[in-house]
Amino acid sequence: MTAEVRPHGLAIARLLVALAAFPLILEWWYALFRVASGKYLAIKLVSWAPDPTPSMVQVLASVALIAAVLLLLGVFARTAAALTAASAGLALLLDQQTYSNHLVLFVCLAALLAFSRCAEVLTFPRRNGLSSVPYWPVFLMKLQVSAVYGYTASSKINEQYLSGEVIGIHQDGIIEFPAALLPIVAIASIVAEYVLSIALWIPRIRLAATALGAGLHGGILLVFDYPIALVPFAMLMAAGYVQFWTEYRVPTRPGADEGARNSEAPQRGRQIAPSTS
Amino acid sequence: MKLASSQRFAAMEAVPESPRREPIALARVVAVVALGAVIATFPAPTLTQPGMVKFGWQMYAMSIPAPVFDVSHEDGTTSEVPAAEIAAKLRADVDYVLPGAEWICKHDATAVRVNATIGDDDAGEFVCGAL
Repeated sequence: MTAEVRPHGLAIARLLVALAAFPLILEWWYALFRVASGKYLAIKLVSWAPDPTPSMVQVLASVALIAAVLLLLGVFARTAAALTAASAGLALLLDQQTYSNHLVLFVCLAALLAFSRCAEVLTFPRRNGLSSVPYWPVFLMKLQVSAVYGYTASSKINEQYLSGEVIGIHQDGIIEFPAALLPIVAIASIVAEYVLSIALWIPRIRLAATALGAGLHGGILLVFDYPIALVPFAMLMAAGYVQFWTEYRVPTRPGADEGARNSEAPQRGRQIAPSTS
Repeated sequence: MKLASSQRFAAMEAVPESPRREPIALARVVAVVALGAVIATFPAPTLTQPGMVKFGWQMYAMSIPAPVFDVSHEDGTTSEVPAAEIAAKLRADVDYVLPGAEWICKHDATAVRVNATIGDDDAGEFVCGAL
């Protein structure tokens, strides 16, 4: 838990999460805007949540947009990540109709980024940050990806999904499977998700797992209706995938931060004091 | 005693972890394990619940038709209000039945009774004065 990794994986995750924030803000803003207008149903997640007003929704969306831009740039990145997570979380709290699984995933990943050193590299303006950062947020992001795959696969083990009916209802994209193939596609998608939840952790088969994941998410975009809504989900999962590829760990030593700052030379193979783990 | 630069580096590396940092490191490990446990187990109860449930990563697990409300009016006429017409956004994991009936009774002064159906199933009958 006290191991360290190169900062590029978290920085790429930061960029992907920030880019996904924009369509997601639009998505929850639209639902909340309609609720706040008083012309549509309002269904609070919790009874103590305030009634959304038009000005409250605009302020919330504005804060979220500014935070997303700052997160993308890597300026006050941890605060920006916390603000994007909090504003999306508040949107979820204000009305149940803002809910989507990818918005919850966004909140989880942005919250983890808020506790990580995600803006040491790939920032604008460019800065000379740390060359190694704590591993634990990376581990939790990887665990999050596995949990998403594991639970989504388990939730699909039901008669309706296994019959192919769900895919049949929602398929309206570039690829359209014949009805006879739908049960096979349904079972294959569940197997793929279970495999991904485990295989990404195994270095020997990680490349194959990544290719499988890319195929799965690419397939979702090509098969399902309204694929534009699923692009942010694919981006968020990609942010998790990147963490599986940034496993290179730099053991910590006293004063590592100072020593690592501005250091261009990779520390692979250097014999230094054992990690505090 | 003055040390050569290589000796100084070796000496620095040999310094053990400060005892004051150990509780912080332990607290961090505990926090990470706790967070990991939440990530791994929080959605588990949703697997035992019927239908589509929030916070369970149930993406495209089922397809559930949206409710339709049959509204009986004071003059004896009836009208049909699909949930899609009054919902800010349709979601399979949101229960629109009671909020929808309440909304119709509140916004349609002539409504006296609301019958909700989901697909072919009755989802509830509501008398406006009683809501």
